Amino acid sequence: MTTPRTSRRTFLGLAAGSALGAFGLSACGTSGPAQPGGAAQSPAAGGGAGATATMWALTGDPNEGIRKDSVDAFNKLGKGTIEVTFFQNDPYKAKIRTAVGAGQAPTIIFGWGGGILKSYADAGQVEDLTSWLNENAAFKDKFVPAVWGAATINDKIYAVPIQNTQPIILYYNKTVFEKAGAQPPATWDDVMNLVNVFNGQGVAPFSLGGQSKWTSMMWLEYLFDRIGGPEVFDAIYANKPDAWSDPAVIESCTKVQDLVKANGFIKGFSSIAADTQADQALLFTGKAAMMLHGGWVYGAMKSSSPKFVSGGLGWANFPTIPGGKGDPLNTVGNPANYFSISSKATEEEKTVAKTYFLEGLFTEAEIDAFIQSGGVPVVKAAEAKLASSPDAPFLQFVFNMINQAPNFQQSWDQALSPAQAERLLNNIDQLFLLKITPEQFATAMNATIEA
Amino acid sequence: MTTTVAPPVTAPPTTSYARRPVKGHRNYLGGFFGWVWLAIIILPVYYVVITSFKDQGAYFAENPLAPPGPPTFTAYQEVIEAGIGRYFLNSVIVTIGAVVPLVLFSFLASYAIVRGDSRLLRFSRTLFLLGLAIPAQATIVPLYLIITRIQMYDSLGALILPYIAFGIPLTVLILCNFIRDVPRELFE
Amino acid sequence: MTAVAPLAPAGVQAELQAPAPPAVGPKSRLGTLAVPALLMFLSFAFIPLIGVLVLSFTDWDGISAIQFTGVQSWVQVLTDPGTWHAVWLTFALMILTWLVQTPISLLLGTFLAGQQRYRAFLAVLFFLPLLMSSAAIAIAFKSLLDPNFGLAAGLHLPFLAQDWLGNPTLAFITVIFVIAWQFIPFHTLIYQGGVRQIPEQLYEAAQIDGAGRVRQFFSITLPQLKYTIITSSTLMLVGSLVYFDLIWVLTQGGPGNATRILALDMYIRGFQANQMGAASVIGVILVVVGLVLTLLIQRIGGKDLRASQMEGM
Repeated sequence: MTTPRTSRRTFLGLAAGSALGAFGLSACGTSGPAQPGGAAQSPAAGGGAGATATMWALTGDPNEGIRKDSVDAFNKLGKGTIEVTFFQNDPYKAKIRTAVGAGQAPTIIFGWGGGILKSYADAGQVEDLTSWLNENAAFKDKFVPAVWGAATINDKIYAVPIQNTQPIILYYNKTVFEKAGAQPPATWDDVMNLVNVFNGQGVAPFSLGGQSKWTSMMWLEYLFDRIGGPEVFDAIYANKPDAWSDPAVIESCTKVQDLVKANGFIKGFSSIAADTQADQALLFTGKAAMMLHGGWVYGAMKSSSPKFVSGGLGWANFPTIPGGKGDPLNTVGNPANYFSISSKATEEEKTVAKTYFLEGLFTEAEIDAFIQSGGVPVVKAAEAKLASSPDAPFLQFVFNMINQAPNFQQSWDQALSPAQAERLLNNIDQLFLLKITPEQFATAMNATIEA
Repeated sequence: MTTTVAPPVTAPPTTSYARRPVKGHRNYLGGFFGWVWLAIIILPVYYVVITSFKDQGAYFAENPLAPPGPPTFTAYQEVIEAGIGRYFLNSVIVTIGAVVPLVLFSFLASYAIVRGDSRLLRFSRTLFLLGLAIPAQATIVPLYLIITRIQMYDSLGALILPYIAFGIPLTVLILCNFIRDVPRELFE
Repeated sequence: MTAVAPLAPAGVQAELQAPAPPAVGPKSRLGTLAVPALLMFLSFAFIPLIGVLVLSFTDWDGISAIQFTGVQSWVQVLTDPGTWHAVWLTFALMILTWLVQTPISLLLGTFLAGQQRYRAFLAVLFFLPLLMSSAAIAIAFKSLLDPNFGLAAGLHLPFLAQDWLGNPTLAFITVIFVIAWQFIPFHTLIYQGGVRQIPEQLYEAAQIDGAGRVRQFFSITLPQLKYTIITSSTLMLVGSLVYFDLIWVLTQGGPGNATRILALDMYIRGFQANQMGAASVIGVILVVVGLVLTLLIQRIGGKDLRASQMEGM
C-alpha cells in the first residue's frame, strides 16, 4: 500500500480552509438576478452625485423596457445612479415583503398601494412623502387626482403613482363575434345568451386564468359593484361585522356560479395561470370569445400578436345588471402602480430616489413610450397625446373610463390586509370550483373580518 | 432542497455480478415496458428542447409537439441577456461551497464517532441520528431570522450554510458505514 | 428523496455504534474532530428547530415586532379544518407515492441490472429526469398538461384533454405522477445497485431447480433486496413528507385546497397570509411527524440486521 500518510493536522487545516473558502466565495457572489442592460450597473457612468439607489420592479414588456430606458436616461443626468432589478409578478410579492422585513428593502419599492402599503407604513418601513409632495406642488399636480387614493393612509401619502392606470376591461375577439353574428354583451342577460351561442359554435365564451385567482376575483369585483354599489365593499374594507352577508354578495356569487355551471369559462380554467399569458393566447387564437382582464394585457397582446390587436380586438365596459344599484360607469382595477421609498435607506439614497421622481419619472419620453405601448399613464399630460397614438381608440376608451368613473375600486387583494387577501383568494377559488355555496363563502369571509 | 446525487459506490462484491441467465428466452415483456418507460421519460425532455427554439407568439399557434417551423434563438438570447451566466456561477459556487465543507466536516465527525469514545461523541451520534428526521423546510422562518441577524441576507452564504448543516446527518451516516468496514488492523 | 443514497443496510442504530475501543491513541482527543460538524449542525439546523418551537408561541407578520401570544397560534391552527385536510393530504401523498414508485423502481432496477448492452444505454437515458430541477420539471409539465395548448392538442387525442391540474381529484393524481416521473430514476438506481450485489450463485442454483424468471424474482431478488427496500422507502417517505418545490410550481396548493399538503400550508400561512406564528406551528407538526416516522421505520426494518445475508455462501 502506497497511499501517502496524511496527518490529522493537514485534515484540520483543509477543513478550516474550505470553510473559509465557502464564506469567501459566498461573499463575492451576489445572489440577486443580474442587472439587465449595461448602463444601470456602473456608478461611474454619471459622475456627479455619487450615491446609488436601488429599485425593484416587475418583468414583462412593455413596462420593463420602458422602466429600463427611463432609469438609463436618468443615470446619464449625473445626479445619482439607480440600479434596477426586475422580478416576476407573483414571486415578487413574497420577495419584497421578506426583504422589507429583513431591513434589506431596495430604496425604491414597487407596489400597488392599499393594504400592503398600509402594513409597511404601520411598521415604519416607508417614508411619509406628504410634506415633500406639498413642497413640490407642481410635481404633485402632474397626476390624475383619482390615483392618489390607494397611496394615502390616514391622510398621509406614502407613495408616488407610476406607470399606467389598469382598469378591468371586457375584451372580445371581433372575428369570433362576426362569425357568430353576435354583439358584445350590454347586460347580464346578454352574457348568458352569448354563453349558449358560443358553446354551440365550439368556442369558449370566456377565457380565464383561474389558477391565478385574482383573475376570478375581477368578476366578483364588478358584480358586487353593479348589484350593490361600492358601499358593499366599503363596508368590508371598514371591517364591519358580517359585511359579507350583504344580499349583493350572495347574488353576485350565485351569478358567478351560474356562469360556471353553464360552461361560461374555458375548459380547464382552474389550471391556467395568468403569468404564462396562456389566457390571453386563448383570446387571440380564437379559442375563446371574450376575456375580462386588466388594461395591461392590451400591451402584452400587442407584443405577442400585433395583427390581432390592430384588427380583431374589441373592448367594452362590464355589462349592467338589471335592477342593480351600482352606477354602470363605476370601474374596478388598479388605479396605478406606486413607488415608495424605504425608510431604512440612507439619506443620500433617499435623495437620489426623490430626484428620480422629480426629474426621471414621467418625462415626455416616458409618457410617449407608455402611450406607444398601449397604456394610459396616470398623468394629466397624457390626455392630449392619446389622440395621436396608433392605439388612440383603446387609450381614449380607457382614459374616459377612469376619468368618468364616479368610483374606482382598487383590486381587493391589494386593498385588504395580506391575511384577509389570502383567505379571500382561496375562497374565491373554491367558489369558482363550485366547492362551496355562496352562503358558505359569506360565512367563511365573515370570519376574516378583523375586529 | 436537493443535493447532487452521487452515483452509488458499490463495494466490491464477494462473488460475481448477478446476471439474468443468458440461456432461456429473452424477456420480451420487460423489454417492452422498458421502452414504454423510455418514451415517458423522453417526451417531456423532447418537448422542453424543441420549445426552447420556438417564438413566444408562434408557440400558441403551432402544435406544441411539432418541431419549430423555423427555429429561432430569441429565447436563448433573452436568457443569456438576463444573466444566466451569473446564475450558473451562483449554482456552481453554492454546490462547491456546500459539498466540500460538508464532506470534510462529516468525514472528520464520522471518523471520530466510529473510532473514538467520549461523551461528546456519543452526544454527536444521537444528535445526528435525530437530525435525519428534521425536514429543512420546517425551520425556514427561524433560519431567516438568524441569517438576517448575522447580516448574511441576500448572499450565497445564506444558502450554503443551511445546506451544509442539513446534509451532515445523512453524510455522517453513510461515511460511518464505510469507515466501520475498514479493518481495525490497518489502524494498528 | 433529497440526498445521496446509502447503499448499506439501513439499521441506523447499529451503524453508529462505536466498536470495541481500539488499543491506540487517546480516544477523547478524537472528539475535537467532530466539533466543526457539530457546530455547523447546531447553529443552522438544531437552533432553528428550537426557534420554530418558540415562534409557534408568537404572532408575527414578518415586518413588525414579534409578539408572544402563548397558545393562540396553536389553537388557531389546530381548530382550522384546513390543517387537518392538509395532514390527510400529506399522508395520502406519502402512501400513494410509495405505492406507485416502489414497484416500478424495483422492476426497472431489476431489469436494468441485466448485462445486455442496450440496457446500459437505457440506464443512461432513464437518468435524465434527475438532471432537471424540480422547478424546471414542474414548468415543463404544466405546459404539457394544459388542456388547450398541451399534449392533448399536440397528439390530437381528446381523451388527453382532461383538466389535469384544474380538477381537484385529477390534480392530486397528476402531482403524484409528476413526482414519480422525477424520482423513479433515483430509486431505480438504488435498486439497480442492490440487485447487482446479489450473488449469481443464488440464481444459478434456482435455475437448476427449475425456477422460472418470475419465481426467481419473488424468491431471491426481493428478499435479498430487503435492506435496499428499507433504505429507499425511508428516503421516499421522509422526502415526500416535506416535498415542496414541484407541487408549488405545479398547482400552488390548488385547485381549491386539493394539493395543499403540510409543507405548502406552512408556506402559504407564513409568506402569503403573513402569519409566521401559525406557520411555525405547522413546522413543529412536520418535525414531530418526521421524527415519529423515522423511528417507526427503523423499528420495523432494523431489528435483525446483524443476521448476515451472506450466510451459507
